[in-house]
Amino acid sequence: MQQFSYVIKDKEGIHARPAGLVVAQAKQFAGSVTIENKGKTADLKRIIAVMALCVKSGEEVIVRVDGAGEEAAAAAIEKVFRENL
Amino acid sequence: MKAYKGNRVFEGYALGRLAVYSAIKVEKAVGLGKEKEFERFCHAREETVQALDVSYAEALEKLGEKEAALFETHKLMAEDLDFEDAVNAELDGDVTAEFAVQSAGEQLAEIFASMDDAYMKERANDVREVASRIISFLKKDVKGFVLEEPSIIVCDDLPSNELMKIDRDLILGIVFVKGGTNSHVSILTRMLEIPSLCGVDGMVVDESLDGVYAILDANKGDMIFEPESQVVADYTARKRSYEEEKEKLQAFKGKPTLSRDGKKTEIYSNIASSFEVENALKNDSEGIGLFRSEFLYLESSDYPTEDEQFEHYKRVVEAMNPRQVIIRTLDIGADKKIDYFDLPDEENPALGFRSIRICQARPHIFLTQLKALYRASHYGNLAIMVPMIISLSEVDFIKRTAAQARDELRASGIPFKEDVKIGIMIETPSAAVLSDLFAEQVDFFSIGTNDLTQYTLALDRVNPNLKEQFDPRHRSVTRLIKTVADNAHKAGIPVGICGELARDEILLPFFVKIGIDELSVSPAYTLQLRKRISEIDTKDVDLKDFI
Repeated sequence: MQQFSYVIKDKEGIHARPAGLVVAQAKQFAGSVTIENKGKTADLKRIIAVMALCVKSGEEVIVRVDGAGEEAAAAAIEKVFRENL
Repeated sequence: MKAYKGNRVFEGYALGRLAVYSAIKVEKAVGLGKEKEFERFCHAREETVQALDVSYAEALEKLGEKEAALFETHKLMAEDLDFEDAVNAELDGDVTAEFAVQSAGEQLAEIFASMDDAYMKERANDVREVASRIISFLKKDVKGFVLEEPSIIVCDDLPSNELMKIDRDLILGIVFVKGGTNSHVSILTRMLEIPSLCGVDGMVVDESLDGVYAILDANKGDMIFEPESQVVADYTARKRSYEEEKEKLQAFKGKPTLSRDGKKTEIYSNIASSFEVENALKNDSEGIGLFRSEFLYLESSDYPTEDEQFEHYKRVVEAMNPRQVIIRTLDIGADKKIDYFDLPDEENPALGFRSIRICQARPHIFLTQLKALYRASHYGNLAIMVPMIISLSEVDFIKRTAAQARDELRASGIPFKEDVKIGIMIETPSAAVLSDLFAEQVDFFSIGTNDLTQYTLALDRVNPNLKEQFDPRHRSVTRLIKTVADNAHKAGIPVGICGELARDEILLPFFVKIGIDELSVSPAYTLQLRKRISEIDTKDVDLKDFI
């Protein structure tokens, strides 16, 4: 399993547009991808669940990627976070 | 006569008949069995996804990438497994797919609606919009919303795809009784410049409103039903004068900015991100006078790479081509702090480690930015502007680093323009006093009036107790501005002003008189400023009044 943590910089938190970008990237990966925030975990491939976490600016999220090719997948997902959130 | 109050989405007036938009309401009914209904759902979802791809492509063309991205999000919602699970659970009750989608959409929308975050609350509408799209594919026999004559649309909320289907010429105004100012459809409405209100208290949308005559005053937030003839006459006059005023400004589109006696100035835009370039173009800006590159650093958690920067600069430069785009290099420190720069706390940040001073201490950061800028120069008319200059040695440093950037790009065979203009900001008394010497070394000046005022008057611009004394029209400031303009012109280089003072009503005649070549303001003020300049005759302006 690969994991990384990230502090949301975007003023609006994980809002609809970047959530879409992150989920779209996660869906490219066959294995499992989860996101944790404030003790709650959601499937990063499910946009409604991700948005329902209501992650605000300045909060930390932990993303866990598990499965074949997890290193490349984690890097790609992290890149989307960095560039959009 | 009945009246309601709402919040403005976009300004303007509308007088006309109401057209009620209501979402398709599905009644509970027994379906053809779970398996068959699930299959119908899957099929409609497939069609929805395809339709969203089309909407995405349309929005990309009409509105740009940022707005279009929301349709991608809607697509992910349509395909969301939680949504599918909820539909499946509903289908266990032997209902139709339409009803299952409506109920599932409502359940998930409720999750958002119950949040205490205003932005997330409005996302409930995104879920409902997706559900109603799927339902519209399940109920193909139901006729969609059609406008037959110019009308004011009244709705609880309107899915943005529905709005995009309606002929813009038939929409006089829109009232989103339940919508919010940040919803996707509100953003679209602003981009389409439709007079509109949202969040109207106490108003109930039902069919009885269809065809009722009404007045929408989006400037004040008023909605008036069945007004008396006197009121109609009054609003008709208001609407006319408002539109005439707007129309007059439109007459300045595509025109050069000239004073009454023919002196030419250019109106440029200040922007802080590559997305604002559309606004600059829409308002007929003659160039970008200040593109604040800090946003790239502020929005990132680590130093933005050369490639990332290049992409942003290129986007703006390409969109504005052949118009000039002046990009200001890194201006952080003072009130703009970034974690990963790891800057020490300072006693006196405004006089501290900032902008060019950071670049000199950490030249690799500056080199990366200059390389990205030179690469982008290949795609249009780019100019580089460096802030917070006090000494000629800083200009030497800039030129050396720029030469290194060019050498490295040349060695890698990457295309760029050799003769990119390099200018400096004049925002310290030192730079203003030495402007005759600087003028021989750089290609242009841009005066930053906020900092120039702060440093000249020794008044902290962010101290609320000094607000009264903070006077950018102080003669010490205007005299410096005059000196800078004269020195620039003696050396044959242009001088601009990129602070908010550029649109100061009192100083505008002074700026035109001393031959400021370019005034850079927020895009929305472009046409107003052009109009005001056209009313100035510099022969009537007495410099003694200003300096």
